[in-house]
Amino acid sequence: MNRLVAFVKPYLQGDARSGDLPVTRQNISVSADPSHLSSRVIGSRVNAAAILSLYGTAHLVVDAICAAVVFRIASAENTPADGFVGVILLYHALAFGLQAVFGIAVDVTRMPRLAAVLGCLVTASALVCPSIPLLGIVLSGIGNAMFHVGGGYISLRITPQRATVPGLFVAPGSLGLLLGAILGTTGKLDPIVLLPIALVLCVLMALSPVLAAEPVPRRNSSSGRREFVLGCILLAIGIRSLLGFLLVFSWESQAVLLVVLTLATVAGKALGGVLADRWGWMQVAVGSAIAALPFLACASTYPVLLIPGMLLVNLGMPVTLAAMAEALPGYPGFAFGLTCLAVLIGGLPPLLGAPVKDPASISLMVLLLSAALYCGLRPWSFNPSIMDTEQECE
Amino acid sequence: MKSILACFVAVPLLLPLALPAARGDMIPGPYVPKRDVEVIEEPLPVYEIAWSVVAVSMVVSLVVLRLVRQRNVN
Repeated sequence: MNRLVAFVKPYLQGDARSGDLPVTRQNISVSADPSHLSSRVIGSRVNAAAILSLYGTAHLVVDAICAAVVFRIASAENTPADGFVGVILLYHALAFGLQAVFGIAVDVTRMPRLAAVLGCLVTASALVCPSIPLLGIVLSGIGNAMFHVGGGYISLRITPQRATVPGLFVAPGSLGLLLGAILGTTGKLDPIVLLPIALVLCVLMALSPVLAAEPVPRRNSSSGRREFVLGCILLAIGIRSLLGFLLVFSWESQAVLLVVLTLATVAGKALGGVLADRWGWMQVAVGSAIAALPFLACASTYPVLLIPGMLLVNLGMPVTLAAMAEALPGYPGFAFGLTCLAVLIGGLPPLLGAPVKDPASISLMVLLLSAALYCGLRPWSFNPSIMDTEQECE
Repeated sequence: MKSILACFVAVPLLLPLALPAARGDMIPGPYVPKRDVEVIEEPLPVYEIAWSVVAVSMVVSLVVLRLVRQRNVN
């Protein structure tokens, strides 16, 4: 169970991966061909909800397959103790590290749907080679990276300048990881049952239209300011990832509490975007991080406080994702990949043995997280589009 | 900003120094339950592969960020 906790934890903090120009407005286009993202066709809230549901479900299944593959290998009798860390590290490096590279490719080719379908297929193929562990890890890692970039690109483009859709897209992933980890460790149900589900989802995604707003015009802006914003947001994501690795308590070995913690994380990611679009990105992200401080600081004494703490910390995750896409206009795939790279880097110190788990260190990191969010989200403190319309337009 | 980018580059460069420690008994407890199984086969170079992927991805990301910056300036 400790292995399960160690694998699921970083994801609970949010890796990695959009808002309101409402899809009912005419700036949304629908195209069956992803290369025609700029074509103006009919769009509707129903279409957007259907696409989001489809990709959210696929996200759940893809993450479940990955977790099942990794845990099936890591739980094998002949896997040494340090082999488990190696398997986890290799999977994380491929799944999180490659997203920035794949994101650039998707931004250039403008084929997010192809990336998502291929990613789902490659991930599913990892289920059919259980006898070659390294191949299974490589396939699941690469497939996961491709799918996330494709799905993330689409979720960020459905409603630019909003955090609702990215949050709803990312949230099911945590649930999928928990499901896959259970399948992979208990062995009561063969993970191969996920294969036909993944194939059906691939067909549906391939047949579905691509919803996307018209491309955001390229803007000139102060490069130093933009890089400062990017740096602060990436720092915040890295700290959140670091917290996720550090906050491991013995009571998590109880399955019920782990399920409750996962549900709290899913709720945090899903609600965070909605609340942020309603009340303001900075208000929700910074406010929730500060509100989480006492819960996380006292979690070592009263572990149950970790549940509200994780919910609050994850409220800011969709905001950082949408803000990254806004800070890199025209590169949503790359922005999505960068957030995952920050998650990976943030998780490295504890994975490599950094001994910082005391309440004072946790409190300091939450304060640093709040400060980074405040500095990074200031351009959007009053209006999500302020950075574009008032400060950055040519 | 340059210092942030420098830190971004420094991580993959310093990572190999930390890898030997990660291979030994210094792995953090909660993640690595002890096993009684003897290791016979030569382990796969997963750490080296993982480090290479992270390093390449970071360098590519930095290059793209510079290109985006130049494009915005121009």
